[in-house]
Parts: sequence; structure tokens; C-alpha cells
Amino acid sequence: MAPRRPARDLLPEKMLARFEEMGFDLSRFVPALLRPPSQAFRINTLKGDRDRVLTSLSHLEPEPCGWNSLVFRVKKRLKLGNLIEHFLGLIYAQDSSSTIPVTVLDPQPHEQILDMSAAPGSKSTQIAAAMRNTGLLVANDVSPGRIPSLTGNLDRSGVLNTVVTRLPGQAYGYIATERFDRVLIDAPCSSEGTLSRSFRTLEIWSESAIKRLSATQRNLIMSAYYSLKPGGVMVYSTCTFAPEENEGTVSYLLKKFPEAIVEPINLEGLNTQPGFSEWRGEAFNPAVKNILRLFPHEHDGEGFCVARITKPKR
Amino acid sequence: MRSKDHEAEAIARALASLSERFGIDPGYFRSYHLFTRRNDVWCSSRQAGEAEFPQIVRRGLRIARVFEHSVRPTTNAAQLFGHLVKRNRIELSEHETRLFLAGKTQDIHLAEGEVGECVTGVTGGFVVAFHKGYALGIGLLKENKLKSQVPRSRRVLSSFSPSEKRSEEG
Repeated sequence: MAPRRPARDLLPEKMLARFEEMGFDLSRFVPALLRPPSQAFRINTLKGDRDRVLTSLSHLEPEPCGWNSLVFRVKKRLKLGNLIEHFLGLIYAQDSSSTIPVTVLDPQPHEQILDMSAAPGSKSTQIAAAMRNTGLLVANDVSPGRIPSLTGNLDRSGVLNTVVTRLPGQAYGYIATERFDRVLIDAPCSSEGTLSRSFRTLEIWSESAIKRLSATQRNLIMSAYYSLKPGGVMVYSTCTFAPEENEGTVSYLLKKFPEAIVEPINLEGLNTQPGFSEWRGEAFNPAVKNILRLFPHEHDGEGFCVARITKPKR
Repeated sequence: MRSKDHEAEAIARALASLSERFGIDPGYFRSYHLFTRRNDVWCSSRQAGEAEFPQIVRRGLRIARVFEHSVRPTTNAAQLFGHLVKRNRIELSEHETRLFLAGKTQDIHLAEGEVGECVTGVTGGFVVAFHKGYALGIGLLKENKLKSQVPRSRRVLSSFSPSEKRSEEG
């Protein structure tokens, strides 16, 4: 039998060098990055009562995630999509980290909310449930090929308060200026945090791809800020570690709008790190330390980065 | 383009059908926005119904398909509003549920008097199938045969959760 290749051999040298530059201990970081985290699900309160759903899923021995009473991890390996509870829309199978941006956004009933890159719908359905199907949720995605998965998940989850649009997110700053109470930008990114799920990101990953994505993210975050009402809240999130796509993007917004506030995020039961203060000689705005970073060797979930930003009232 | 009268008529037919067949109070939908697209009746929150944006793909949820001689509620509507259904409900066993979710037609053994013109029982036509109190979707009941109306894209061909397997095996 051939000896097992070390996990780090599966990743490009340039990627490993960047991770090392970020200060990660590769002997701990890389195996954790490539190891699938525990499966997780979120209970959809539009369709079912939390306790009743939990009772019917007790055989899975779900473990609560401290930061959100509706999110549970499952240690057993099984296809959650085959459960009848999934068919009924009582649960949504998603990585535990990906439930954090909406938890931080904290949507309320009767608000007007924009989910700028909504497909395949895990976060839109979470927002709609928090809004109790009231108000308006605009679930936008620019990619026509991703719309069916979005609408399918909205249907299964019983979402009624949503308008689905197919526009570049950059357009919202112009067509809906100061319209929304809250905006979520789960930005297209280099997806380094999801390598345990798929190696597809390696097909597009490169330093130049990071630069290109970072330019798109800057346009999106500006558009989101324009579309936010004074006093409104937006959450910017990615599933990547690249500082250019996280602290760099938020710093860019703060340079253009120094009045924007990056708020500290306090969630129970999470082992988090603050945002990077600098990268490759570029010092970021000190406020980006309030960005929440999740690393797979410290947290049972995919790598994630989340910033909560408020637009002050006039 | 469909006239306003045509739209109002389709919505009225859908609501009347939901009321007559399933005992759902039409007043329940007063706080929602109902509208039509082609032969379908859709339901959304009021704000989502009135919002104007470019490039809208869709809004809300399709709740019923209106045909010339009948109205068929959608699986999604049955699941969301199933708790309002007062008549023409059928509770399915584990095995029957599995067949229903796979989109199959199956023999259904209702107690005597449940099929036919019995006022209080289940009559032939569209019914809402339930399992353990949860609405699964719409079935077409005809002469003791239940034809699942679960759309192809929603069908579950593999088995359920392990607990249900265990309880059946045990």
C-alpha cells in the first residue's frame, strides 16, 4: 500500500506560502482545513416548532451551537437531505459557520432586507424565518444558473416575503439608495475556507483571482452601503482567509465612508480571532479588528470571516 | 396580458376551492398579497407583492394551479398551510409516506365510508396527505388509489431517517 500523502501536498505551494504568511501553523491548520467539519442543520421556524422538530430528530443526537438556538451539529455521518424533515422544509442542512452572518445581521419582522448574493438560499431562508415571513426580503443573485437552486430552497422553506431579482449587486446602490434596513453581502470569494467540501476552488485560485475578487467585493460593499438606510446594519461575510478579501474590503469602505462603524461581534460558544491589522506591509483601518474570523483548527466548521457595519443616523 | 377581472376570477376560484375542499377559511389570506401568473395563483407578503425592482424573477410562493375544471393546490402550499386543512386529510403510515414521497400511486385502505359522498369523511379528488401530523403534499384520490402529486424535483427516492428505518424493522 502506498504511503499516505501528507495533507499539505494536496494544496498549491503558493497557497501554503500565503497561509504561512498569515501566521498559521501549517501542521495544525492544513489537516483541519481539509477535514470535513461536523454536519449541521438549522431548524426552519416557518414550517415547524423547534422543540417538536428536535424531538423527531433526537436519534441524530444533535448538539446545540451556542450562538444560535436553532442551529445544531450532528456527529453522525448521514445524508441530511434524505431525511423527511428536510423534504418537509423543517430543517435546512448547512455548515454551522454559514449560519453566523445572518445571526450577526439579526433580521427583525416587518423590515426591508437585501441579500445581495443570495443563491443557493441558505442565508435568505434564515433571514425570512427571522422576519417571520413579514416585510420584504430581496433575494438577489446575478447568476441565472444559480436562481433555480435559490427558488427551490425558498419554496421548500415556505418563504412568502421574498422578491427574487437577477441583478449585479453593484446596481442596488443606484436603484435602491437608502432603501434597506439591513443588507447581507455574502460576497463571491476565493472560498479557501470550504476546501474540506470541494477542491473546485483550486481550479480558480490564484493571486490574480484574489485581486480580481477583491475589486468586485469593493464595488459590492460600496453598493450595499449606499442601499442602506441611515441607522441600518449590514453584514459583510466571506468563506475565505485572504486578508485582501476581508480586512482589505472593509478598510476600503472605511476609507470612503469614515463614519461607518465596524461593530464588535459577541457570539456565545465560538472560538474566534480578530481581524488582521496588516497584510504585506499595508496597515488596515484599526476598526477591522472587530471583524470576526473563524479558523478550522479552532472551530468545528468551515473557515469564515464576518463584519457587522452600521451606517450612522444623520 | 390578463385582465384584472380574469385575475380576480382565478383567485376567487382558488380560494373557493381551498375553502370547499379543505375547509380553509379564505379570510386567512387577507393579510397576504395574492396574484396570478399564467394559470397559477401566487401568495406573498404585502410588501413583497407591492415592491418594484428591475429584473424580478418571481415573488412569493405558488399556492395553486387553476385549470378549466379544477384547482390543484401545490405541494409547497399544502406543507405551509396544512395546519389549516379541516377535511380531505389522509394520514399515511411510514411505508405509504415513503411511496408518496417517491411520487408513486398506491392502494389506500381507508376505513369504510371514508371514500365516496360521505359528508364528514374523505371524498375522491385532491386530498392533503399527512404523516405524524405534518402535511406532506397533495394527492389525487380515486377509487381507493392515491396518486402522489409531489413534483419530480421534490421527490425523495431513497429512504428516510435511520430512526424510522429502525422502528419499521423493529
